[in-house]
Amino acid sequence: MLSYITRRALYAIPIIIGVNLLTALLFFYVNTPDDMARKILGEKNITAQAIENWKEDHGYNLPAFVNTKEAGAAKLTQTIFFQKSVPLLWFDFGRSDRNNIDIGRSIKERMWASLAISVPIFFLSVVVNLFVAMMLAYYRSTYIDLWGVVIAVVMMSISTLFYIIGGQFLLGKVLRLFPISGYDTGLYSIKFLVMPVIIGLIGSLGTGARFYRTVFLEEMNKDYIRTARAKGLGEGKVLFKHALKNAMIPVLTNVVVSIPFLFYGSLIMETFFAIPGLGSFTIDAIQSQDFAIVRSMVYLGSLLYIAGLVMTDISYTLVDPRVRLE
Amino acid sequence: MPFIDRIIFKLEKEAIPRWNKFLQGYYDNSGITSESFDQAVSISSAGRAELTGPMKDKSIVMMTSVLPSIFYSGFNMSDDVVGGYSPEKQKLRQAISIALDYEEFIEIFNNGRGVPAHSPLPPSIFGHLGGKEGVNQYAYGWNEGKARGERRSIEYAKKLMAEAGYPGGRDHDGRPLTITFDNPWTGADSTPMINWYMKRFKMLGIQLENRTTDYNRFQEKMLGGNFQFFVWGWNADYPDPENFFFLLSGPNSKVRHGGENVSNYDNPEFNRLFKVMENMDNSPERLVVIREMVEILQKDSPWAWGYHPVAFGLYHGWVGNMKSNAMANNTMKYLRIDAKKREELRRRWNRPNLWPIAALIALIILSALPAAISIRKRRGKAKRG
Repeated sequence: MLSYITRRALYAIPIIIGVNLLTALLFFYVNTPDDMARKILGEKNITAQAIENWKEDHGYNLPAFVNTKEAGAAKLTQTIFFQKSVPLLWFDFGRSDRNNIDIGRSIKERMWASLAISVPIFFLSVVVNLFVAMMLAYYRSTYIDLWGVVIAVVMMSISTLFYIIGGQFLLGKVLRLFPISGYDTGLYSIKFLVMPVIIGLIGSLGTGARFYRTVFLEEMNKDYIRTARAKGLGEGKVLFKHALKNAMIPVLTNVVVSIPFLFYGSLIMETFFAIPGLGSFTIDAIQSQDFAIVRSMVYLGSLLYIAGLVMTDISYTLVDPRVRLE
Repeated sequence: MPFIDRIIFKLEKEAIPRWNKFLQGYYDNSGITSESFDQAVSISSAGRAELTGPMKDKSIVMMTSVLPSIFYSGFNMSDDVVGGYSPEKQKLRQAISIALDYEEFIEIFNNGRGVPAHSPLPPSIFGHLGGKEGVNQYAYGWNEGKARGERRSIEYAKKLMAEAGYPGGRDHDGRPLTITFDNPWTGADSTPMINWYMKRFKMLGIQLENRTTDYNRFQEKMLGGNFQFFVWGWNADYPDPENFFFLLSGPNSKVRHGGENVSNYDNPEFNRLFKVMENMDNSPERLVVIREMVEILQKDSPWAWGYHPVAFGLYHGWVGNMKSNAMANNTMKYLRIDAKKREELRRRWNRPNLWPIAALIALIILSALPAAISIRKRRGKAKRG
């Protein structure tokens, strides 16, 4: 397994370089360093000299990818891409372009707010989705299954934004059960987190329940289930003990890959609920053309994605003895 | 002073939760977005903006003020077609100024929250002239009966077009006059605004070619002078006419000097008067100079004008000494808050409403019951069989 993980880590290097290159290409295609300077300096009464000074102060006075004025390796190293991307490898995220904050420190601080909302949503949604899916499978061929699937399809067709706005209106404004938005530290944060967690849960229920129901129904038609029934086991035991265990591979594929992204936060949810997590950090950076934060978050995102895939592969070996990582 | 012990600022990025929390009493004051405008404000039969019943019931107070800002549309004065200072070019721009009915624009897109501009100066800035004196005579006539300026007719604008060498919107060779329109309105909700401009230009037979780009590209075009007609805005840095007139001063032109004069307007007489006016104290003498400057601008029409936005602010009855002032940032010390009343009303307005939740749970249980019973029966039969 160690050699497998080492190999995957090595594969990750070109992927990470490629992702960084693509991010820089896209970013500088839309925003030139001059655009960034103009936006960050305030767009009013900006002189050409002020723009040049800002670029020099922030290291954007170099060419983006190739420095034709230099010779040898310096052609590539004396560029914005190289100078800004290489320190990311040892997690030196530097300071933000807009207000000079320490990005690494901000990530550490904001990560907890993101986790406070994403971890409960994640675990509760896995449990609730699996439970609902098993209930639908248990009541298969009854009106509960039929209407359950119809409702699940309707729910998965609705945008997350609708759940958020509708949830804030219904749970916050009409029923007045929770604060509409906001955040606090420590235990005080709980009252602000309940509604986003409920909305996150409902938002994922349609897709999750329908997917897991399909997985369970596929398992229910297999020979070992027939054998279990022939042995006289009750339907509940067949479903919850035998089918659930064997359905773990597709379940894990869906679940484990998402775990690393819990740190990343939810872009829309955090913005609407005014939660100061990494999702809103990224959105703000995109809107204010802060390349330093954008590249850090994209780099982090690519690392987390690769970590998620490796974790998924490893988890297969834990639930299915037939799987070996070589 | 200050009259309150602590002020808490909260960063609420989305308008809908911000508005709902204001209604719940968690914010002391709020602006009004277009989406919540109808919920908060109704227009009386006399055309006056008033709070709606639910707002009055909550003792919410409304405050309006014209912002020291201008949202304007302008021409590139260096352009061969729409620029220039000859009487024909002046008439072409005046005709377009008439066709762009900003009274209609404000009604459609801004819920009536704006004052059409007759000069660069907003009403709150020294030198702004109200009444008959302040009306842009090239685009408006004066209605003595109603004591207000009335936009000149499209027929009058068409006559100006003909005098400008574009009868029916066509040049000497019979080709339709085409003008490019640069704007940074990339949002989906901007399409109706762009269509409005196209429609108004079409009334003069002019084809408006839309060139929407993102804000960065838009700025590049403005810097390079690669445009004909554009829209932009300005918020005052300080309450002085100089801060608006400099947007049209020649030495401040965008293309030649990288300044804020995006129209690249360069009238020597206006430039001279600007130099005279900029260092004068507010005085009758300064007003005379300003009048001359405004007259030059109205005649040359480097802008097709636009409007000064009106801000509608709401605050709860427990807030005292609230005054609108877009220029001063040190007014918090004058505020008074009746914290006891606020707490009491917050509690009263936000009592949880639990019965729908109980009803929903009961409904789910009741609807699942027949299925559970039938499954139990089926299993019992299977066991017996």
